[in-house]
Amino acid sequence: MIEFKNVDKIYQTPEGEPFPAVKNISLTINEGEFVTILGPSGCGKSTSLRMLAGFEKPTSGEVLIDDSPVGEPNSNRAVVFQDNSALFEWKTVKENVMFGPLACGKDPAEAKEIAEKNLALVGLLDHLEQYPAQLSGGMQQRVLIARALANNPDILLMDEPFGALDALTKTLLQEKLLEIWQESDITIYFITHDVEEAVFLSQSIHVMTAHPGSIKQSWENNLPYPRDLELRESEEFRNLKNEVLEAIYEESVTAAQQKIAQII
Amino acid sequence: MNQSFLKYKQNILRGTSIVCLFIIWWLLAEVGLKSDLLGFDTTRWPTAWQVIQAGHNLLTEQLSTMIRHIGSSLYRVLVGFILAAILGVPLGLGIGWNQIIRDLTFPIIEILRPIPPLAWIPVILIAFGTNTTMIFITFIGAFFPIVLNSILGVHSVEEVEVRAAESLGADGMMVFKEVVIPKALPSIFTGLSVGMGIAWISIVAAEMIAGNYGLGYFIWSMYNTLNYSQVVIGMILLGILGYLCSTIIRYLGVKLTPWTKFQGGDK
Repeated sequence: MIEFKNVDKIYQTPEGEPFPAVKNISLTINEGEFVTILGPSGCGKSTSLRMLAGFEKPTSGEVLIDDSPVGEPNSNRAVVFQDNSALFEWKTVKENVMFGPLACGKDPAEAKEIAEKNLALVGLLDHLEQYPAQLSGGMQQRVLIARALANNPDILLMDEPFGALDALTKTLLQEKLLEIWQESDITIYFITHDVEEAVFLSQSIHVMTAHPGSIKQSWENNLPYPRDLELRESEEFRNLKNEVLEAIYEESVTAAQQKIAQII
Repeated sequence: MNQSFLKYKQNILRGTSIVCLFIIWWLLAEVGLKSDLLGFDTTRWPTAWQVIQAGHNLLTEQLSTMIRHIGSSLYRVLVGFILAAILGVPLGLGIGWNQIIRDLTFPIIEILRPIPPLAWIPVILIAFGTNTTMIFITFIGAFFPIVLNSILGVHSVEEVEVRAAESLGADGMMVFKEVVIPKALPSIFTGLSVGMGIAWISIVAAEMIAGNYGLGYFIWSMYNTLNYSQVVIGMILLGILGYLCSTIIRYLGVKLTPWTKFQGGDK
């Protein structure tokens, strides 16, 4: 179980001013749950993920996993980053995915086997020996997912993983991700600004307020799995989507006003 | 327009460029630009034909001396360069990655770096003698670009790459070996290639000033004995050697960083 308990994160601006990124986040995520976090840009969504990954410590409050505070980054919490610069450009696709198992002490033969298994899962067996720069954006994102899964993590942290992809590739990868999630007991913490994506993927949806971010509203999403394209046309889907949209719209307006105020 | 025609046109243009070089040379040496008032006279330059004859002479009658000149320069450059690489790359990686190493060594480097390699000649000469001085000069010439580009290479490592490695279970040592070093490698090779160039520049000047062998010394002594055709032979040999050395570095760079050839293009 993952818990955010009254978590604040305050950064320092270069001028030494305090800059609150997230404010008083409280959130409980069950084991095996698929959670999406939505919010206007700059609201601190990624900050929450960074604290959960262990890249940063909260300024106050606690982030707990199974009742103990999150420590240094480790292989139990895999991260799929927003952009493909997180791929190791100097390693081939296969070597990228082997990295985790090797880091966790597996021998090369075993690491290779794990890598191939996970790359097969995302349909990249034909690209084992290629470098990331030779792949399309969608394929690079799939390598990131395969690499994150290779350590068999308990928690998968995904920071707008499909944000830069075209609509078709995005849909395909969303379905792939659901498939992978359903066949495992992995907990997914998924950040996005795409409401449709959130409703399609997750069991619970949390919308954050504009900067400094806190949880504005949460929904249980009881649409049945497996979910497919047809579901997107259903009324329940659209109703939930509209509700969430409304909530996020208000926050986006606030965020935009903040930005304008900054410029003026 | 088709591919082969474009290629053909390109070859014609490039050939013309080389022919022009020889025509300009011929005009300057044979016809000449002269001015008593301004005190110049390019007819003192040897013609291409004289240079070819001189080259033939050197190769047939003084081959062993020439080999010794070439050998000395090459030896000094390679030893100095290799020492610079062996010390400079690890030091640059260390400075780039570790705050303590940076604070301990970077001030020294920043103080010594602006001193031109040739300015070191007297102090090294009085303590170590000619041969060591020559190697030291190429070393110092190659060292700074190698260190600085290695530091830059480490700085090109992005936070997200380190985060990714850590969240995949890598410890500090593995991050350094598997992320920092390969990421820095293209920049390290830029440093090696610049360092090689400066090593050659430094050795020629150093040998002119204080050498007793080597191509720089050869050029200077030929100049002093009015053998201007031989001077040009020395220049050509230096050009060839410099080209060979940087080609080897470039070849190694391409071999060791195979991923770079896919970058920067369309994805």
